Amino acid sequence: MSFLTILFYVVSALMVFTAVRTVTAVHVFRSALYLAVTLSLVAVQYLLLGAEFVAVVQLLVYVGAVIVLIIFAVMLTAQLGDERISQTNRLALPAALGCGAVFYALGHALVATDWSKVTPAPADPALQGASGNLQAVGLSLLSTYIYPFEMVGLILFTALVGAVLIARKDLAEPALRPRPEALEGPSKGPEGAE
Amino acid sequence: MIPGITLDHYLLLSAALFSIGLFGVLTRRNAVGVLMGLELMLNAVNLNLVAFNGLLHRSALGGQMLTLFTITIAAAEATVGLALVVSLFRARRSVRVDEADLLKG
Repeated sequence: MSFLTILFYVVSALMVFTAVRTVTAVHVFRSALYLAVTLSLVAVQYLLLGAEFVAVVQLLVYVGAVIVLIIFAVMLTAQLGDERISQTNRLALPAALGCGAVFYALGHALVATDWSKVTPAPADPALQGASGNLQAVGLSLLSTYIYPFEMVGLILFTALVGAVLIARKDLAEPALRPRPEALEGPSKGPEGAE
Repeated sequence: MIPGITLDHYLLLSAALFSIGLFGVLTRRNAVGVLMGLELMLNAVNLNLVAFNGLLHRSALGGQMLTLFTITIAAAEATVGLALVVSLFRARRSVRVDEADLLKG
């Protein structure tokens, strides 16, 4: 066995282990840290597959940004860090059986398929003369895939504006507050705890 | 590319990751946990795409491009999802998905 083969098996085993810990850890903060390890290992798999650009983007966007967002959400919502509250619902066993069935069905279909019959995609003419994955992806993004690239930027921008709007305090509150006739007593509604 | 590792290895690994993520989505009681399961499922799909690109269609970049776009959309989805979590916590003092029934009327 070559070094890369051993590396693949080690990374895969670690990945499955940390993914299982992500969905089963009692503490949500710990769960987020396990998720960070899983996502970094996915980046290692991308490197092993020769996709350097995607690996770097994976590290930047997922481990750098999404994990930070998740950890911020965990810290902003105090109840999440409480270990005494059960983090899973009562359907853990049926869900485990269902997911096992999904894995079996997927695996069976994947192994039974003969992938050698797939016709390889035609070579992209825009990539002539590109040396290495980074240059090829950069050229491709700004030539063949320029319209999807611009569209996805627009979608990301819209989502960010929407997220700011949703999380804004003064806009979110009036709609969620109970109607005035429900506020007869001295209680101030669900916002009173603040 | 790696001796002894075929496409099936990657696809099985990705199927395992997908099933684990599905388990997280189904069983977690807080919204952040559900989002983390969702991220695992998205990553399983991305790994699939890159594996197809690297082992079947080496002269084109379709799989890697689709993965880049998926990562972007996943980041947008995580942003909106976590904004909703913060908003929900502010309204209900709780992030339990089974207690979020504001739209039930």
